[in-house]
Amino acid sequence: MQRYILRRLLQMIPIALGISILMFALLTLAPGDPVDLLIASDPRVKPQDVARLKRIYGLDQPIHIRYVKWLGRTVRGDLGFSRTYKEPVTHLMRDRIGNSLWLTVTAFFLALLVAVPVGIYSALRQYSFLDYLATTFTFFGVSIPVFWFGIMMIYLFAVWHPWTAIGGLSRLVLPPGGISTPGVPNGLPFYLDRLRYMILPSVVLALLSMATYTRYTRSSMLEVIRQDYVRTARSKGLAERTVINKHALRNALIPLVTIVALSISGLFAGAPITETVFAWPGVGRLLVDSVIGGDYVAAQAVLMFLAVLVLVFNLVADVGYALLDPRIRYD
Amino acid sequence: MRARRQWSSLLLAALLTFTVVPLQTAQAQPAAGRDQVVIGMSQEPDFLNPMFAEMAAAVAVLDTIFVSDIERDNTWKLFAQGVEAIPNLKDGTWKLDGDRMTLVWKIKPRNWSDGRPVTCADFVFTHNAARNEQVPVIVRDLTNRISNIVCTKGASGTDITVNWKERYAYANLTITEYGALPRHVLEKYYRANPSKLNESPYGNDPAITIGDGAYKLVEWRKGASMTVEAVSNHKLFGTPRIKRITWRFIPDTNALVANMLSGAIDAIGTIGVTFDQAVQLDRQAAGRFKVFFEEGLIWEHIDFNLDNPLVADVRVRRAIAHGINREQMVQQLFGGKQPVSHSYLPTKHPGYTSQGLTTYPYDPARARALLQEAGFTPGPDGVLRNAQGQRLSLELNTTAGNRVREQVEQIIQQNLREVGIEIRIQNYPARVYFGEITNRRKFPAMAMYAWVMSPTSDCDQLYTSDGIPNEGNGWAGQNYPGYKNAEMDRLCKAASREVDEAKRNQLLNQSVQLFSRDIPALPLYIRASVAAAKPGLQGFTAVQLSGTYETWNVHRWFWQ
Repeated sequence: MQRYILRRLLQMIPIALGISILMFALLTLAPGDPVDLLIASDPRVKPQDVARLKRIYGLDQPIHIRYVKWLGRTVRGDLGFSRTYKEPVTHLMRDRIGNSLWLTVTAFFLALLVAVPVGIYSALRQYSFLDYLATTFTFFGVSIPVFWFGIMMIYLFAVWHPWTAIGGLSRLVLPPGGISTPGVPNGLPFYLDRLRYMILPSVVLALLSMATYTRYTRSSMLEVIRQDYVRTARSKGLAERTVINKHALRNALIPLVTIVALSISGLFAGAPITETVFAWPGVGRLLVDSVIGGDYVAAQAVLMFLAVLVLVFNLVADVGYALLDPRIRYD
Repeated sequence: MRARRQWSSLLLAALLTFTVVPLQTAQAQPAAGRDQVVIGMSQEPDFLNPMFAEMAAAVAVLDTIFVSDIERDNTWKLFAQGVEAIPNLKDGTWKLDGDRMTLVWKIKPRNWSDGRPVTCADFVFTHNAARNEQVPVIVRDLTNRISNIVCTKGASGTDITVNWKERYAYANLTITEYGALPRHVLEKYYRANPSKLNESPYGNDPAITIGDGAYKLVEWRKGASMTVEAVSNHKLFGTPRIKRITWRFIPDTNALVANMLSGAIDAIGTIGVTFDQAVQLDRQAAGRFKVFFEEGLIWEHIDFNLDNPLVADVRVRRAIAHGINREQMVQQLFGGKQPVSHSYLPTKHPGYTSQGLTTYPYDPARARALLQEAGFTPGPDGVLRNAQGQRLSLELNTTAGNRVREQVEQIIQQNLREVGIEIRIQNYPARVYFGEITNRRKFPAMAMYAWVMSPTSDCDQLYTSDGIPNEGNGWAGQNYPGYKNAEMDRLCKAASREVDEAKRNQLLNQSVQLFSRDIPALPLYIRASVAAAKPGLQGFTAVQLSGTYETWNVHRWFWQ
């Protein structure tokens, strides 16, 4: 097992290098050089200005030299200075990843907390009313576009909120977007305030994965409860609860664990659409904005970070799978 | 049964955890007597150092924390804000010496928000930093035209003389390109490494980002909000009645509208919603807020590529202009709130005139007659052909995904089909379109986009022959149609150097008339600036004049 992990870790190096070359080339060779675009957008910018700026930023050098310099700096932990955000990319990423994690981790646990029980229940009571309800819900969950659902939630909870007419329910009016109330003092008030801002985006974000996880849990549970060993457990006279919890559930959750491990890297990637709709300054928005804004320094750093995370969590998923399922062995 | 209860309670617990959170909500405050304003913006300022800030959103905020030398009000009238008087030729504060010029300024005494006085040395420092080749400031248009600036009564004085290398028509609108920055804060970063001056915390960190304006930066939560606080007893503005202004950055414009509807924000600035959304917001307002529509400076038009022999013939261009029902188009799409334009300058520009303009009202019969005169006859498929049998089929390009422009394209396609012109639509992502197609003149016939004009815009480089981008000049210049006309060259060059405003406007008037005759580009319409505010907020209007935003009079806002 240790040799397997070591081998996988070593394999990651050429893969990461390959990704970095591809990513660097794609971003650099994309049409519309950001400095050249300055001329098109502002008639006061002269060709001499463009030449001067390219010299200052080192953009006048050939692409392979720029790549080597970039790689050298990145390996040393210097991710560069973002031209759009006028901040060191390390600061930018630290803040943005932090913000995204607030949202994605909450949504992730919220999704699991709802999806696993619902999925199990659906499987145990297949074709019952609640099963149909859950299946319909997951169908909606996977088909509703997240931006539309987000706007509807804002409209319902922040704009329209008809229930405020009922006494005492005005507390359920939520902020329509943003991350915190400006000027809120640090400490407990800050966290309580942040919690209010998190409710809508995390529920919206959770809905998508909730649907997926419910479907996985349901189908996997359905498969497991038809297995011989479950029937054996039942015929041994074990209580239904023990049969489900000890024999069925543990095995049914194995595929889910893989899915969950693979989606952890996604938590760091943020959620561009949800973050945009709810004005949440996360890493997903940073990536989209920096690509659109031609801020390659920031885009490269974020993409590289996410690529490495995907590689690492793929390994974690594979290892976790082996630990959970004794039938799987790596050498 | 027990299992069922167990799961149900789990589910219920999960739902309850996330819905019932015991917290207070932002209660709506009564408008009168409030001393705060929350403004929604779809963009976040990149930086608050005027030398490096690139975004319009930054300029809107900078207006509150810095004093402008000369400012424009919402009627576009100039007034001296940070200086005693606007230099002029009559009283000798603006002197001409052949090609050179000298302007004499006196700044109004005032302090930086840390209490230190604003002096001539701050202006000199800022100008010299902008002039340094190593400093990554982007625009140095005025900086390069200035030969030097002199503190006539010492570095700590308020008298400044600026010597210009060449004549420049708008030299009395600003002392130097970037005005004054606090030398006592910035100099150490400049001395340490001029090429990283843009990486200094000045412009990011509220603790050291000091200005001389009516407000000072107190908080910047990146990606979320920014707050400025009124300076008490400001030497120029007194004590503003609005104590705190917060901008909230909401990139999704639908969410921005929802914020306005929910009352979470008091106003949406001109960098906020689209025209369509403003119209919609206006319908939903119902007295809760007011939506402002002001004629702006953004000019939508279609460039003709004059290298294409089909549109090089002015009769074909005129036929296209007559063949498109622009009046009906702006009525249908914008309810008439964005008027048809007839030349390259917006109607509010001082150089614009409606006298002697050639206009092209919708007249398909006239369009067909012009095309016949140009040698086109109908082909079997209804599309016209010239003597060589070439079909009058033209490609129209614009930015992909821009719904309004796509609608305009469809109307044009339909209208022109009726006069026998085939329009083929081919759109590109903005990056490719502006980075490769328009600026390198790669559009085969017609390119639709907008120019952002300013009250000081003229036609130099825009329609002069030396402004045609080509490989030799590094694709500089904005004359994308490739328009060459000796008379236009003369008018535009003279206007850009004419310091007498009346004479300059006369030259610009002539250029506007000449443009409308030759139509190297087809004027479509002028975009409106839109903004919204709660009715109690007094003094707020939709102003968007490259460099001046709704915040120009922020120290006079109040709630009623």
